[in-house]
Amino acid sequence: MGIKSLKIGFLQLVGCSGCLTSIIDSTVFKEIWNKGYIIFFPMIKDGGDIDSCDLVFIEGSASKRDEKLLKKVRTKVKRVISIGSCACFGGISSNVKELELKPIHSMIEVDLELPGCPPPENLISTLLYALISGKEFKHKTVNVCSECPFHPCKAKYPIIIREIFPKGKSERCLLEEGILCLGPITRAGCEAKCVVQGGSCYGCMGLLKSDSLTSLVDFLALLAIPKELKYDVVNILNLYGKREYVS
Amino acid sequence: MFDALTHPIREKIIRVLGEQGPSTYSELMEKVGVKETGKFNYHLSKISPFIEKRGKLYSLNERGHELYNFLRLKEGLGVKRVSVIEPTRVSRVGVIFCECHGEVPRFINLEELSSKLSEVENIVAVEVFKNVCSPENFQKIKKWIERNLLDGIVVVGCSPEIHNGLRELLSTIDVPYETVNILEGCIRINRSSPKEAFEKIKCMINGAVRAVNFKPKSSRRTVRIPKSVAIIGGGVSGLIVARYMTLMGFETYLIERRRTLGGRIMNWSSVYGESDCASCMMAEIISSVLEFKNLRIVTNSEVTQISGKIGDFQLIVKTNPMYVDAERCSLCGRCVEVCPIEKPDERYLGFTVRKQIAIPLSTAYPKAVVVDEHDIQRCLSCRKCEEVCPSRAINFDAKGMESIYRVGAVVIAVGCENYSGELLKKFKHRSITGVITNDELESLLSPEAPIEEVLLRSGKSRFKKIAIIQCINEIGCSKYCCILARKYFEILKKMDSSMDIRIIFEENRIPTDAPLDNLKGLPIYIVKNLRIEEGPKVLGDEFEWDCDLVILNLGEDPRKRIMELKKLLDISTTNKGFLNPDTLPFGIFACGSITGPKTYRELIYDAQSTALKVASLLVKSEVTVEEEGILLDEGNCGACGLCGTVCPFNAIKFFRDRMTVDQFKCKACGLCIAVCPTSALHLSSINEEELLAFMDEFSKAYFKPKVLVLACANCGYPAFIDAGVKGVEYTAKAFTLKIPCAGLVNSELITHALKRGFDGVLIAGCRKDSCRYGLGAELAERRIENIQLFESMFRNRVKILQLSAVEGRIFAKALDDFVHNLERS
Repeated sequence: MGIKSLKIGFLQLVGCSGCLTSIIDSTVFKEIWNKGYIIFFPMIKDGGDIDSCDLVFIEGSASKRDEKLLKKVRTKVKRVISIGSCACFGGISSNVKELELKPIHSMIEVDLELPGCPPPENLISTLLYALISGKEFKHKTVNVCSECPFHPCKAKYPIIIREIFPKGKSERCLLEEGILCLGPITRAGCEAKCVVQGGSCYGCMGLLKSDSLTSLVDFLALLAIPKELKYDVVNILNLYGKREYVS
Repeated sequence: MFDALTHPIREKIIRVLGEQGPSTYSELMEKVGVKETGKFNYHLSKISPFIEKRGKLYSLNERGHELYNFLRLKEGLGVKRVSVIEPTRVSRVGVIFCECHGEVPRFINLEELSSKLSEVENIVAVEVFKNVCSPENFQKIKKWIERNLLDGIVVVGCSPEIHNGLRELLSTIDVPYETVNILEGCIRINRSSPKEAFEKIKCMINGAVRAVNFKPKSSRRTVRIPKSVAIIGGGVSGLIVARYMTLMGFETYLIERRRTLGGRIMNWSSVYGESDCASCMMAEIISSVLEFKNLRIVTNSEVTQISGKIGDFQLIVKTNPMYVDAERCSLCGRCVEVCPIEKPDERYLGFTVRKQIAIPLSTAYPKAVVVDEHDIQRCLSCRKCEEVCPSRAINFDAKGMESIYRVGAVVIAVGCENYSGELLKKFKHRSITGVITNDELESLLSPEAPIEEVLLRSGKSRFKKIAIIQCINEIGCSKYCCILARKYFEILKKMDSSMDIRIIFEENRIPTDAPLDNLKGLPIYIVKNLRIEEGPKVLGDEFEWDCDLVILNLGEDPRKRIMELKKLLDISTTNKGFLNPDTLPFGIFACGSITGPKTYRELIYDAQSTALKVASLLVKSEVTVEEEGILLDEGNCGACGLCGTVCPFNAIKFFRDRMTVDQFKCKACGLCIAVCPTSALHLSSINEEELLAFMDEFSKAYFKPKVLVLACANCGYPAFIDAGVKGVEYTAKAFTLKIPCAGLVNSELITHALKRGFDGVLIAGCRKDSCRYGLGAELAERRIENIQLFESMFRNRVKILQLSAVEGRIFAKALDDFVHNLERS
């Protein structure tokens, strides 16, 4: 590996620890743990000074109280990477309106973001590997459909939505069946895990186009959503917050 | 598969069969260019799983076609792909000014403008012509381009849409070009604000100079058109088209599925409003085409495959065995005399009997006795008629055959079937005596009909009370069942003026567009919950009537024909389930009732206009096909299939785990581009970069508010030109860009424009019901509704305008209002 020694810290703000757990799970993590790069990790390794890190990963979204800490981290640390949907665009935790939680990039400048709830293991490994070997990490430029076994959608405009949640496992494209699926406008990388296991895609990987509004609007214009479902659809669209992130 | 493709000869065989359709062994050998039969046989056997042999003809089977498509994909024929859209990197741009008969210099100072332009990067030459469209200038311009080593030019003057001369000039130029329409687009509409107009023209030219970088070279292709046409269907429409095509001297093939020509109308007693009886009228039409040598009538035949493209269509036609040689048969009737087998005569509802071999209607063509295909087994064991026939016209050993026709155009006139769905069961057709369809009534109305027999069976002495039940179909309005009701009313009244005839509608099934005027003065009853009971008795809410005969007035049912057509061609249907003729590939036409319900007169006019369309294609010895289309960036394609959901031409298909664009079907409307979530699709004629380049330069204009008008090429842009032609004066603060369809505008494009400093975006598209691509106007409207819901910022800044091509004044007024509103806010 390219770099001789590296100091990596992991920070947790308002989040569920899911992303950190996924990081621990990844293959490259064991490698860098053994090399002793990690100097700070919640619950595993304490006591290290986060200011001396070269790289800091942040999980969870930030409340107003975290602003001071984040700004300090930004001034001291070379690269800040937010990891997981909460850190990238608010995520599930941002649905708690009272806390006014925000994505990290709205408070400080972020060098790279890796969304996902949690981020897929292979992407974490690629990212970690890219960072420690000094290579460039590239986001995928295609949508979840490219990894979905049921692509393409063979319905004709307008795509009529009858359900929000799939009732059982299906062997066809969910949109064809009339179930809301954000796969077409969501960035690939997750291998369409949710859809394969009988769920639907709610876009935790973030939207493909840089402007979150435009792709949502253009996609929604293709759907015919009955009135009684409109409220639910808006809830799903807001589930992970505004899915804009730095790529 | 790889075994099959490892040798160039095998690949060539597949290619030849795929491109040119089936051929015989020797033909194939010649085309592939192999001389030794042994070698050829060896290669043929290697690819046997992909090839089938029917009679003497070799053709590709299903797997073979897949393989051929794969080969096409491999070389990019028919399916284009790009990795990234790269600018053509034009470095030397020339600007040509046209004075347009002095109109331009009267308004702006061309010298001042030219001196400003020569400072612009990339512009190496500026030239002013008095009138670029005059042919003597064409050579001069060509030389000027060569002399200055230009690799891109910008023509500033009028609009090529309405000025033929300019169009002609552009077709001779082989470097990328952009046109800037300052005459109709600025000078004539902004006379009273010269300062702003000067700025606008400057920005427009700068935009074009930048955009020409992204302009692809035109890809025109010339195709020779064979002077022949195949007409599928020998009903009214097919015959009328055939008549005109033969009159004009084109080689015509008329392919009919039944044994005789004429179609459904041959069963009818008369056509309302026409003086003659139906079969006599048809006989006249048929005899009028028969005298021509360039018409070939193929009856008892079905088209099993249509392949090829403009310039060369191949039809494989399967002809069923005829058993009777029409040229020999003299209709002497000896065969009918000796025939021992009797069967119910379906012409008279089975009330009478006929022999299994029968003489057809005297007006039928071809004139020969007929045997039904499904009776043939019994005939094979008897064969008495075969022996007695004096001219030996009957031969039960006759075999069917398969032939190929290669033509320059195809007309689909397959017609519809009479409705035969669930409603017939609901109204107890045939399950209660005395309930018949209008089709059956037609045959009873003929003078020879066994009316006594019918009366006897139904236990009535006379038909006194007759109920006609309307709208027996599921397509809305059949257009003619009102007229038919009037016809039956008049004919029946003529037979017996004391008859009580009532025309009955079921309330919830009256279509809104029914031509009820045709029934003025007749006894109409509108009944709720209509049903029919034994008797027959017509029942409904607050309605009860015992009658003698119930006639179900049938509409049309396109479903079966559409299913059959879908096997031949990739077609799309209208919302009522009929064939949509506008979405057929170039060179294939459709007319008649398959394109929608029509009255007799409408059928004739439709067929005549179709004949004109076909002729206008066939009279040309060659046509130029502009190969514009959609480019697919496979690296960014996630194969989600959203593009396919909106494509009006079914041109985007999923093939071998990727999306592919069929360039022959694609008409470059760009609807798919707007929905592509990964931006993997691009238009070859105007790509996004080009639009953005224009936008960038336009937005540099100093005035405020600035408005961008995105005008669709079919209605919005012509309306913009129309305003200029009419000389309507309106705001100078708007820049107009031409796009193929309003459906190309998505919120991304709008956001781009607003981010670049435009204060408002106006989308000028077609009316929703007249969008050439069906969905474009609707999609654009929905997107704008949505974007305004989500973000209040867009609420007053984006507007959609739906208008027709001649509404220049409305366009101007709407734009003025829009700018005015923006100024106030």
